[in-house]
Amino acid sequence: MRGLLLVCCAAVAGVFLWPSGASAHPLGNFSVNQLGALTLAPDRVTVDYVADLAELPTLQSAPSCTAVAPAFRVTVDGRPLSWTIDRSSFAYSPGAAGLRTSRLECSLSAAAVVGSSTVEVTNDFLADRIGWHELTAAASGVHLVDSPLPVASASDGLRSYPDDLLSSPPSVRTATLHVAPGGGTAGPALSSAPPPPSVLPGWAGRAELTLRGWVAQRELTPWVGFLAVLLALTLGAAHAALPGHGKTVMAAYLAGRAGRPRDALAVGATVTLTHTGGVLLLGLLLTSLAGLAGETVLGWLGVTSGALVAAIGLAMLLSRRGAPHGTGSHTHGPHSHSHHEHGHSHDHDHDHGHEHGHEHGGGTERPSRLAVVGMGVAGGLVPSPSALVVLLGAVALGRTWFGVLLVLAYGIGMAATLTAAGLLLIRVRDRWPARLRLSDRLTGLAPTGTAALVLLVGSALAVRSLVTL
Amino acid sequence: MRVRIVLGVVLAATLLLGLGAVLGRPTGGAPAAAPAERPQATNRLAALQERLRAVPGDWTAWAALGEAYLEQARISADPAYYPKAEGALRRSLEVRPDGNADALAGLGALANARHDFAGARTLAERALAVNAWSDTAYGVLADAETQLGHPEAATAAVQRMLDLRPGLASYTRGSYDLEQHGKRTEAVALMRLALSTATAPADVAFCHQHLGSLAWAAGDVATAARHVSLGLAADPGAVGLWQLKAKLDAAAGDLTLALSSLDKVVARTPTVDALLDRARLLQAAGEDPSSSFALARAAHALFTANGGTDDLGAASLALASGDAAGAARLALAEWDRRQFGEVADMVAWTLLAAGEPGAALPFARRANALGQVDATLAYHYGMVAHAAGLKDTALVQLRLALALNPTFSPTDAPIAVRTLAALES
Amino acid sequence: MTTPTRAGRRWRATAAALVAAGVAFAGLGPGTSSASSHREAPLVAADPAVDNTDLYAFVSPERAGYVTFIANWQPFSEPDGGPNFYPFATDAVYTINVDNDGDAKADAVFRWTFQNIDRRGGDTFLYANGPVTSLDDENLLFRQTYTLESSFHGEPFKTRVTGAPVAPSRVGKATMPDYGKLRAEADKRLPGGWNVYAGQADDPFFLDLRVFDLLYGGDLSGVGRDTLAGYNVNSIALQVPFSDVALKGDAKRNPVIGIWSTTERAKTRVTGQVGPVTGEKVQVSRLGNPLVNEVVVPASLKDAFNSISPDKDAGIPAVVARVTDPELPKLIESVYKVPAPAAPRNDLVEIFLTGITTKAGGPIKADLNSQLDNADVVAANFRPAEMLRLNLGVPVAAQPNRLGVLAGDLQGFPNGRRLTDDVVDIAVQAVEGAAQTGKLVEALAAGDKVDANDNAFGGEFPYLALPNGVSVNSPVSKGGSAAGTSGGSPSATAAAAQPDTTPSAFESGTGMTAVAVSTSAIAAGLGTLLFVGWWRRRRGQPQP
Repeated sequence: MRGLLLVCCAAVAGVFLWPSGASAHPLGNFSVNQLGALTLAPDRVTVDYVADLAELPTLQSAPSCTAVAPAFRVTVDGRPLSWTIDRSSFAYSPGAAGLRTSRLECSLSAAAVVGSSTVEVTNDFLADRIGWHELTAAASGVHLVDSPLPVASASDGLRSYPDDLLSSPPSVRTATLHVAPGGGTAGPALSSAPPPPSVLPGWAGRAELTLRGWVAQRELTPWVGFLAVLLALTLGAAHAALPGHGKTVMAAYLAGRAGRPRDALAVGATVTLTHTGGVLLLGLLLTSLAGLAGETVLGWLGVTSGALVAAIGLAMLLSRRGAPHGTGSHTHGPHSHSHHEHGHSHDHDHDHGHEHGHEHGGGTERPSRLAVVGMGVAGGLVPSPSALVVLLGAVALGRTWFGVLLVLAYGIGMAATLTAAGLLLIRVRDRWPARLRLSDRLTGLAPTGTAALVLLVGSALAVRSLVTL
Repeated sequence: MRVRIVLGVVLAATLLLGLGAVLGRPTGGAPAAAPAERPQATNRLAALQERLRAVPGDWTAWAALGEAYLEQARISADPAYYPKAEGALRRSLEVRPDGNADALAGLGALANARHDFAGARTLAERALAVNAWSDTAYGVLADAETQLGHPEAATAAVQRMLDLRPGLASYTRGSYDLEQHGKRTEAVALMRLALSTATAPADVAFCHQHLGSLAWAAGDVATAARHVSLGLAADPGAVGLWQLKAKLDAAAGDLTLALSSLDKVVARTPTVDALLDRARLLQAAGEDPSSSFALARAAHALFTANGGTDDLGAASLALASGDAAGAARLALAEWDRRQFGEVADMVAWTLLAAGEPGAALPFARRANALGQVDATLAYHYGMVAHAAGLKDTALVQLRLALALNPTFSPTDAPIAVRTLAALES
Repeated sequence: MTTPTRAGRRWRATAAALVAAGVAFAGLGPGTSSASSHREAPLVAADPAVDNTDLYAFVSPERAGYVTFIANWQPFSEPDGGPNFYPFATDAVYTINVDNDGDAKADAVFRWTFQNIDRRGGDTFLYANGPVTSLDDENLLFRQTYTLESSFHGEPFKTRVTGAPVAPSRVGKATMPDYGKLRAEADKRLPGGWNVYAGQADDPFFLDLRVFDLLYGGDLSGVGRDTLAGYNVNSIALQVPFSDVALKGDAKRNPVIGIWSTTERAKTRVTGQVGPVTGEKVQVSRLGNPLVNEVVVPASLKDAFNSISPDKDAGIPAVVARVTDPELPKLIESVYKVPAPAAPRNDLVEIFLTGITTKAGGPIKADLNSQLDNADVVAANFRPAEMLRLNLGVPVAAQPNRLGVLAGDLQGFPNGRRLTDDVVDIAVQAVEGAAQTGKLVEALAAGDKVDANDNAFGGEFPYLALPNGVSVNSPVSKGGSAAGTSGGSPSATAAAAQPDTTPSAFESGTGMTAVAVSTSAIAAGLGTLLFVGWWRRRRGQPQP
């Protein structure tokens, strides 16, 4: 009640104190106020253009979207876009002194491949008119690197102009945007923008966003650099823990053949090298080749990886058939035993010596080097999208070497998970025969089973990736 | 053995993480930005805005911000800065109601910009009561006294300002004061001095505009044209220079070029006098001026609807629409408020048009009383004297007008030539 | 705006503001329309070229027997490119004055005047049209030279150097790849052991502007950022032997000097004899002690203070009153509950007006830097005046303390002023009476938390740091918070200027990036091959 009274008193005071009832346009009777809201998608650019004309410009001319379209120039890597006018509206509303103000709205769009490009925007429409000139830019399906433009309009689409005493009306008529592939809008300057979604669930997702944030920081400190590497290691490990890397296959392979810890380590090293190289190569391709869609490349890599695994499975199966039955497993048993009894890692070397000899004599029970390397390549071939995003983010800020280092850390993290899984399985396998005393027959069948499993899972991976393409 | 492996892992980890720390050192590895072009006026605005965000109680900075907004409004001809200027100046007064000469002087400058010259004088005097050394307050006072038609007080204020702070602001005012007193050579010299101190593009353009106007008033078209091109090179958005350029183009007989210059002015700032200039030029070119008239009427209606009083603008509008009696009435109403030479000239001209040359004559004399040397003034005086039957005065003034600048107006100069020929025969 | 309460508050605030302002302006006219035009001249045209910002005076640490004066003008010069550069005014006279006998009149005057060499013609406003590698580089289209004159004991001025080059405004790395070389070329050695430099430098002053909140009843929360970091100034530096400035040329007997700098313009008339008046000058700016304009001189007297010479200071009671009864300690008392020292503050009179001495009856029991301490001074002629006072006899401190005299380092401010002296923190402590009590006020001990300049100073003349080369308000230097965060428009305006000219990190980095990424990829590939090869060899090794 008291509030109402105050409002009334104030209103009365306002009437007395304000020179006249009719209010002028907040930005002046001369002003032509413009907003160009850009949205960038991988395959097209759209602009929601608004012009708010005060009384005199309204009287002087009635603008149209066909006049706006050629004056609102956008180029993608220097190639100008030609707009399609999807929608246009023009309306008058009452203004001061019995005159009218007007509002023009245009939806412009153009097909363009903006996956990785430089987009230049110039609004030359009624350029010599004074007024509020605003540009905004948002992205979906691509990523704006360090965008100089805000995502949202400061004037609510030219509906309410902020009357902050400490800021001047904006006069933003040109902008240069750098578009990188990958979802989301955020540049480091746009704290208000929704962060791009993480590909990882739960804590890992949050950690990934944290890492992206660190990489995007203008001022890196040694401490943050240190933590970033640590986080990249963890994220790599988490990435490898996700399904789709043939861990089971690799583990089964190592278990089925007489895999040794050093084979697991070899796989790990191969994974690291393949993944690091793969991500770097992909990053190079994506930054240098415009119009290359990251998703497609990832899909094909998935197919290759699956096919590789399947090929190994097939090779295993074939070699299994051609091999004499039973001999290998007999000799294998005691070795495993002794290994189990010692149970120390430093003993492995001794074992290796024996095993080498044994392999030469005994045939195909040992994992083939080619297959082990193949396993590693298959495991590392599908790059972690989050590593890719981090690399591109670092590159965009001119910190290429830091990005490379982080990708390396990702690879090492992945290798750690895969190696650990392999070592675990070898451990378990070595314990099984001791504890359960599996029949020779069953042990003999195991390699065939694993070979079939490897083939199956490989094919499944390849088909799954093929379907997503 | 195990120790060696652990050591190896630790070493590798240290290497990796250390590399991260090294590569993550605060180099700000991003490449440096290219230099950005920003006019000094906005630089100053930005600095003050930033300072007030940090120190919101700094009332001197609030006053300075208000004055900077006013300068921005003047330079850009963008009236959106006026409310901001007023807001900042009032904030300064709120924070420090007493002894705040800066805010009072700033509000005085705002009143001048809004044609409330009496209010501006009061505010300037209040500011000087607080700080008798304020050159800004003397500048506000000089502007107000000039427009109110108190030439002695104006000159005194300008001299005081020059004594306190020689510089661009006082030189340009001194030059204007000299110009009104017919001391053209001295006015040019002082404006040249002003030009030598000007650094901001808008200030350079301002000095060139008035050097060009002084040359134009004396018929020195070549000098005027040189200043116009130099001024526009410094600030291509300077409206006053485009208006002057239109005059020069029209005098050279190129009405199309003149119209295109005025179109630039009208597109940016459709003020009453720019629109009327354009209408007259269209008339001279034999085109339909009605759209320009309609716009001028709308511009004036908006100004009054928002509480402004501008009878001088209204008078020229009425005169252009053929309502000479109404124009004379409006001009006299403005004269009641301020007895400035420009107003006297308008009163005389509208009274002549309304068929009262006898009443017009004292106003024409008054308009020329200080001795200002200007072809249009002389032409008006001559025509009034001619209609009032003062043949000698008419002869002298019309000869002066044509001697000063034979092409001073595409419409009026031919009339002056005809009238003079009739008088001489 | 959406809820009634907020709307109510807004209305109340508006109404209150209007009532407070009074109805005097209600009929002023339209907020945002323009009347028919009348002559509108620039009014508060920024005139920073003649604005004195800081003065330093110190015994040269590496050159015994020499004193260095540094005076700065043109604050907040941004290292912009384009049309913005910052020349000295050619219609102004810049001076550094020394009073060694205490009569508040200059006994030595050093006077600089500047000339333009403008080769831009009428068709360009560019400062340079290519890389500038030396001061006489053809690419530098606009340059300045100066003339230095000196006068001692009121004798006529003698020209010491003419046509000496001014170091240009630093307008970016591309245009001036090696500014240090340009600086070195502008450093002039003159007969008599004089060193002189005029040109741009990093603003050596460091403070958090928010410290001034103290003056408006605020506290010191949230300080600690050097708000002048990244800005440049125009500096004049001069190094002369003690004997040129000490009374009777004898710095042993008369070690104390007082220093101030001024800017002057020729007097002009529009009445009577019109035009510039020969010889007569108007002083438009003056500076001695730092922060005098902020802390000591009341706002309404600032213009007056800037226009008078020091010998008139004691004749303006309002200035003296402001020194003896300053406002700042009272404001601090209300915020920090630190009791303000009792007025009259004769300790501050010593610091600002007489110099620290026991011979003027002041409360500080030390003889440090008043001309009254000079052996050959006639005490009767002594006149209190605001100037920066320096005792040339105090040995150079091996480890300069930023708090100067207050921390027992007698070679620092208020005994002269070194580039590293933290005058903001010293001034705050001084008005709290620390000079008299000898104890720092704990609550304010951290001061503005900016204790050093952002750029390191040099070890020899002209000591100043090179001017900054990166625009202060560019996104690079603003730590990523440049665009769009405030939702307001200044950042948008700043951004507006940048997008089209800023080569993005991405773009300019692409070449380097491609190299780096491909190198890494190749390295990784080679690594894989090597590893595979090694592994194969290991496996293929025959058993012993």
